[in-house]
Amino acid sequence: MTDRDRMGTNDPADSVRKRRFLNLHRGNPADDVADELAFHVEMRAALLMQRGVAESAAKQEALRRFGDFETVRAECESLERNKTRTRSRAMLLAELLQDIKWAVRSIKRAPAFASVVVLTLGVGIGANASIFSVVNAYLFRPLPVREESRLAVVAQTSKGSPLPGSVSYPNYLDVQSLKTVFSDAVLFQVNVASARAPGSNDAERVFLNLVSDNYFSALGLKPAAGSLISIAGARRKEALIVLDYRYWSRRFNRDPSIVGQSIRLNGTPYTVAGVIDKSFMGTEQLVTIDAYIPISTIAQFNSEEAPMLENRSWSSSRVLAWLKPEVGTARAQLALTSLARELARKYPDESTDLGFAVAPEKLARPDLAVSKMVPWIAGVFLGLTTLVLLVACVNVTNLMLARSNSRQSELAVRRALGAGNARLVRQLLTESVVLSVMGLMLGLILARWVTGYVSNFHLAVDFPVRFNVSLDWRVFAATATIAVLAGIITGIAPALRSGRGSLADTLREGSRGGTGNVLRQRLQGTLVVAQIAVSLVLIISAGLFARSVRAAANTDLGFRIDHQLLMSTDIALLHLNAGQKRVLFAQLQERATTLPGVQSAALARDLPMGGNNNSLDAYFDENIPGTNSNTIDIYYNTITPRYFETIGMKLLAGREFTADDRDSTTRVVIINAEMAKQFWPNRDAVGQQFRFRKDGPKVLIVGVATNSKYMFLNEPPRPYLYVPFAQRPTDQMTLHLRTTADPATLARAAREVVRGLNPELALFGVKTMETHLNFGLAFLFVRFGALVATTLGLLGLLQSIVGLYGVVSYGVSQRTREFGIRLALGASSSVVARDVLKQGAVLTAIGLTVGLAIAAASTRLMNSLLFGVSATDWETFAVAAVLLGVVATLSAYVPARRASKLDPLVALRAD
Amino acid sequence: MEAHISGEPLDLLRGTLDVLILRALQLQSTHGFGVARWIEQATDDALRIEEGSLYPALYRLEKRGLIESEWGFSDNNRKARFYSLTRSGRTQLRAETAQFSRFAAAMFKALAIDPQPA
Repeated sequence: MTDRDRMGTNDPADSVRKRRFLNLHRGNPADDVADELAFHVEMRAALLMQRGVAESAAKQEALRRFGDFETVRAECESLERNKTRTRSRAMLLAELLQDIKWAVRSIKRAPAFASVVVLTLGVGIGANASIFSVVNAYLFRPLPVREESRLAVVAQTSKGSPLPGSVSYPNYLDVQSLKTVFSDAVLFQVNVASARAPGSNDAERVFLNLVSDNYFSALGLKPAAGSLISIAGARRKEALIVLDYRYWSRRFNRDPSIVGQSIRLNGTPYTVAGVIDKSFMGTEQLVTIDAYIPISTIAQFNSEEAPMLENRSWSSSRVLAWLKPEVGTARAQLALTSLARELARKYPDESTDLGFAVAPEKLARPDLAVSKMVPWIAGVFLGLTTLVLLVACVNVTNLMLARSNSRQSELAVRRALGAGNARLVRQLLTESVVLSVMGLMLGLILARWVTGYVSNFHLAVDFPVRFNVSLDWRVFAATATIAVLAGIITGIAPALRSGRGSLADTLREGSRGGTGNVLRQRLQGTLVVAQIAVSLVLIISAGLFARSVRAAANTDLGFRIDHQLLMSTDIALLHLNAGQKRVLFAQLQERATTLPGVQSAALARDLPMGGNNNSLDAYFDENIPGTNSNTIDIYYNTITPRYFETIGMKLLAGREFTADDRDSTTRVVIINAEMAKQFWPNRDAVGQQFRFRKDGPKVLIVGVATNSKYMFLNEPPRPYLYVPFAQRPTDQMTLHLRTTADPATLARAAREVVRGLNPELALFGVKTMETHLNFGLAFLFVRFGALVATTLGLLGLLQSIVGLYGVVSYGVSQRTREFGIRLALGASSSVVARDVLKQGAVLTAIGLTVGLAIAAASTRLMNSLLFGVSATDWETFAVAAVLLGVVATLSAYVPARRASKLDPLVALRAD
Repeated sequence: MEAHISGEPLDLLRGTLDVLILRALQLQSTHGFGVARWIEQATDDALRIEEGSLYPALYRLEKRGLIESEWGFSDNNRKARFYSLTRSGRTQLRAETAQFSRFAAAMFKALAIDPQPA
């Protein structure tokens, strides 16, 4: 034996294992140093004794050779203390790096597994980030204005329309001067104008915000070019216009020289004062605003509407107010209520039913009237996407479990090499976090694509709906959190399991040994059941939305959807008087009617569910039944003769307007069935009279039309009336054409008619009624819901296939030897296949049952989003369950077939 | 008592101990006593080291990240601290070896030259 052997190198593997094992049990520095030095001295003494030196002499000699034991010990001890401190940090980092390296290597070794995991997670995260971005854009993102946290929306209410609505200009001034609760307030209202840029002959429609004098200064807005309008400038009624950054980019290519030039709005020149900073996208939640002008200049821009500055009942603006510090909305509400009472006393004619509502700006999005619904909508969609992510996590966990099983031997070897349980758990965890991060990246790419798509989404409506959805850091943070959680969730199950199994068990069992332990099977079974259940809930939701869309399309809107072409025009720029307007539109209607393929033509100001709605005050000589008031706000449309014939709406009594209803003849209206029912119950409404103003002429009801949907698909029947264009001319009208052929084919001919009439008429919104409803606001909610839910449902379905397939194939791979033996003993392949299928079928059945129960309990949360279908519609439930059942069986069939085709010889030899 | 091959043991030059430790661990991961034994054998006991001074040197090297240590069992089943060379230790050893060779070559060259007649 050589000295070298005695130094402790007989079995490297053995000594390595022992060393690693001890490494976990590090003692305190003082003991460690004492142990180490004592060991040295003893070894030296032992060596001397081997060479024949007596024990006591050997010890003495060993100590002598060592030198000053105490000094060395003290020095080493201080070094050791120092070292442990710095090392524990360095070691953590080094081990982390090692873990990541190991994770990347093991992912590379199983690319198929990794891509399925990353894809599964990425899609889940992507769906989440997208939905979150949309919700964030509308609900959570603060306005980039001064002191946005104290901003509150102030709206007006009245008994006739209890939903909070627009505020009149004089009332705004009173709200603004409520200095006890508000430090300031701004007003703004949407208005459409024909704009002609300098040096251009083409007019285009722009969306303006008419704003209060203090709008720019109070909001603390900054210019990107030029300057913004000052309070003093607005008070001087200077015709100044401020451009939105996006409009500036789109229309003027960000040319700074536009500042100082003039843009003609409805023919009136407005000088461009400047451009607002890019970050500001307006205070309107749903509409993109192109430019801003002071409301004080309204007389120059639109003289017809100038009285709104004086008229308390002319409510058409939105108001944002800053609550004073330490003033809550409750106190503001009290102050507003007493203001309303005071106004009612001072101005009984205009303010009898007046009330105010106030809410923090962030809770009143997109509009105070519908804001109560919005958190529900957001909640439902976030809930659905979270389910998808949950399924993805469950699936990934499943895949990880299956994989960790095939890695039992690898893990056992690692443990044998001295890796502690904690370390192994951490390594597996690192691997799943690395996978999650890859999934996160994929998800973010998907989300960016989706939000980009949504931002470029164009609705078939004649105003620019705001879809500015972009990923921002909040979204990123939320998504990253979800991803890391997903990583930990997916990582923890296999890691704990691999940590628990004992080394001996694993080695004895062999890599593909027995049928796996009961606990493991139960865990995987539970996961698959959960996943099928969740998928079923998603598919049922998708089904309910899809049925809502069908129901919406088949619902009786009160008019015909088919064979109708729409085409809008705005003649404001032509500066015609009322008589000229009547002539122009009469000619247009006449010429359009003679077009080949056109049955009838008519004009109307508002399209059903087109987002443009106007109301007027109806004044009755007696009190309205059920109230102690005699005025009421009623929505109305301005139409020409043959409107009802053209749009396909039934008249229940009376007649249409005719060419004989002129400005000079008796004022006439047609009301809808609901109005007739409310105001003249059990009486014939035709022939009844009321007024539009207390001192106005009487108006005669000449007809009663069937109820229709005017603003929203799921609105309750509401009073509505129609006035003849001849008696109330406006600038913007939409031509309706009832056609015999496909309406789209008539678009060109109809355009020619308009051109022939007057080449300067601006045409827009040329579309069929079907397009208007399907891609406009009418079906927006259900369509969007259906789109999202269908996408999620498909994702859920895909996830279930991946999940069940994974688990059943894993089960088959586990039982390869068993099947081999059975086949060798003469079992028929169909028996084996049936056995495997049964495993999948049992899990599927349990999953479906649980899913049906969850769906039955939870889909009613979506009730307010659905249309024309019950939230517990059994047909949808049944179809979804059968669909998922069939797909699940199919995904179990593939591994079942594989099991039945096993070659017994190969299966048995494979170990 | 151990016999020395030639004359009295030499005192270690400053810094040489570190290089010797690295060299010992390059060949074999071992405990402090193993390192001491290797130095004895490799230098035929020609170098005298006070064995106690080995340990502060080992600790300092570990702190510099040139070697790392783990607890384990020696072959007679005693708990002992085992040292091994890290990657940067290997690099350091190469550098020091090269430097020492240049130094030694220079010394040999200088010492081999006869004094010039005045």
